[in-house]
Amino acid sequence: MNAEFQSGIDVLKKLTSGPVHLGMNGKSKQDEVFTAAQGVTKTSFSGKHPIGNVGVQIHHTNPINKGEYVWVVNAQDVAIIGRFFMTGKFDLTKLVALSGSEVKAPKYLRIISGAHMSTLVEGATKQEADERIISGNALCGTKETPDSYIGFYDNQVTVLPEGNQMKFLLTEGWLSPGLNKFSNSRLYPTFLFPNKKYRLDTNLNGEDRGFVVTGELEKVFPFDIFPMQLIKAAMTEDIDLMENLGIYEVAPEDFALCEFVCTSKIDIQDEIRAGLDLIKKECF
Amino acid sequence: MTQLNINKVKFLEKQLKKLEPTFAKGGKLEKLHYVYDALATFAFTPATTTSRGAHIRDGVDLKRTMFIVVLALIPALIFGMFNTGHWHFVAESGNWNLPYWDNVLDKFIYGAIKVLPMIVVSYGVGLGVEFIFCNIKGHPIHEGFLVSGMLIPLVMPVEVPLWMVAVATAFAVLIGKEVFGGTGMNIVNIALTARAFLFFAYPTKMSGDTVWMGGQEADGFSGATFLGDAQSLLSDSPAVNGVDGIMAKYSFMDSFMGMIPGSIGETSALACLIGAVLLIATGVGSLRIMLSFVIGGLAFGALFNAIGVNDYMNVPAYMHLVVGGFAFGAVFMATDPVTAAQTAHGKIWYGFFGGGIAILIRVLNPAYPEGVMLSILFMNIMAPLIDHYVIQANINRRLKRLKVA
Repeated sequence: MNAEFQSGIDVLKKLTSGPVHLGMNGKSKQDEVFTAAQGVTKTSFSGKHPIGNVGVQIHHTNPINKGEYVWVVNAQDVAIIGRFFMTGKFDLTKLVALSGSEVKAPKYLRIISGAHMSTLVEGATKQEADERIISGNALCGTKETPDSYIGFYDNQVTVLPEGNQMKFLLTEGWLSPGLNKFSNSRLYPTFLFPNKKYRLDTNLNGEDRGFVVTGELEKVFPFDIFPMQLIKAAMTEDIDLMENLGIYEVAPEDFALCEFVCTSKIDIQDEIRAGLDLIKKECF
Repeated sequence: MTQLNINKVKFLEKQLKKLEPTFAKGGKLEKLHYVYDALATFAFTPATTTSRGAHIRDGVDLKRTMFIVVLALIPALIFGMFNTGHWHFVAESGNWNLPYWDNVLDKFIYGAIKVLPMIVVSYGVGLGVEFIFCNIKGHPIHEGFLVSGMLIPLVMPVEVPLWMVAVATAFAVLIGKEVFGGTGMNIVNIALTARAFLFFAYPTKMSGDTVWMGGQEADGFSGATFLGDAQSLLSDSPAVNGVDGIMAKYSFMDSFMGMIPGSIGETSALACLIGAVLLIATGVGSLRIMLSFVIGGLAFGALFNAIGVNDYMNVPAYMHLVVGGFAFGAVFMATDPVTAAQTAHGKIWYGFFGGGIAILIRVLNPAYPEGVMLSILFMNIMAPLIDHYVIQANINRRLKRLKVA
């Protein structure tokens, strides 16, 4: 593995005239594969999610300006590239995590990239409720069916309960004591029990509204960027304003937590994606 | 929950689902779809699931947020009812020093009889206007009015006729909010729009010395407020004898507790403080705004104390915080997230000048005894400008980096 990863990095260095950066987890013990890697600028990042997002890491090491490019590859793919150049065989075997509250036994699986979803989830889930199968993680993955394939860029499959049940106001809704409601705000008493575990479903937990609450997005958005203003610029398709507010430094996934906490239930990642697509169409 | 109750909930859920096609597109009552939608989503968080992006969502929604604000207003409401009752008996007897805590129940019942109809009218008219408007415009009914409907009666003098509450509420909901697109889109605070409307359309019912106490006043009795008396310090015939006189009539402690005449919900700084604790603990209200609002008020108050060319300027700065609508405005009005500044730095400037200008208007403008309403409305208009400069600083940092690179 060490040799494959190193050889992958050597290939990446040939593909770019710029430097190659390696972002590592600064909190847990770093694997020798990464610490022994040669010819890369290594940076350790520690903190809460979304510290693992490349957008955050780039923003805090060398922020992107208009007209600049940064290519990102995840660690397993670096090893796959290296393996190809070492052996001449394009071997897409990789490890993916099977996770989520509806999985009987969460575990790692060795698969071929693009494997059929049923081979991963069939028989592995609890079947207690309708299930949502996600290629990727719960915050920015893609909704899939058992008769589909795991996404090329995804290293995780998540199975969650569908939230397709109405919630009565006094028992589970907005007037309830909310002892089972997970919230980043302090509007339900559960904020007093930070270690409580939840079985989160896919219910929107509210209805789509205009922005009302201010200051909540900034708490989960570790960029020197005004998230709400940037989202509004994307909604109004104001390209100049989007550029000025730093649209080039973000990807939709960087707004995943903003979307999670948003009281007004706005599909923020969609809005940012649409903004980026518009810029790509108009300016490049 | 008992089995019986679960069955009732299930029954309600079934009935709602049964009715849905009637109100859906093509149904018999499709015109009333949004009314149905409002009532159904009031009782049940809909079964809507996420489709892309974040598959899981925070448990909080706008209804919960608004509900917390209404909860925070309850102390001010309860105390306001009692206080209204007290000043009614004071006015009737003509005895300013009537013992405050006597006949508690009588006073509360009188206050409730006066205040509850105002709340009913405010909610009834406001929601009625929204239901009609939303049906015409074809957008769902938002929950913003849950709070506005409670705020409007609390910032009115008790003697305002019910029809005026109705007209002001209708005006505020239509012109203040719906023409801009509904909750979250308005430029100025809804409740203050209602108050400002009455203040300019029917000034004799919104200030002076006959509107603050319910019922018939005894002969020769003047039912003025602190602000009215303070204003009279600037005239040729002051109602009180200088700063000492006004401080003797309204002690700091009485004013803090709210045992003074004034608009229904605004007299008690203590009740506002209890609300503030709830708002800050839950994170619904911005501590930045409240604190900078108070500091702004104190700073401008101290400035006038230092100048001190007339008796009103010499009213101690801390007194301004507990009389009139200052505390109520700081906690419940200035913090309205839609109309306040939205950036963290902007909130500080917004609050500071909100509090400061309130005192400025009180002391310097003899036409408007209460400056808080006008000051917050003014800062509502200014908030986007403040945010503009905060955001521009961020943009400039980015442009500078681009030039360096």
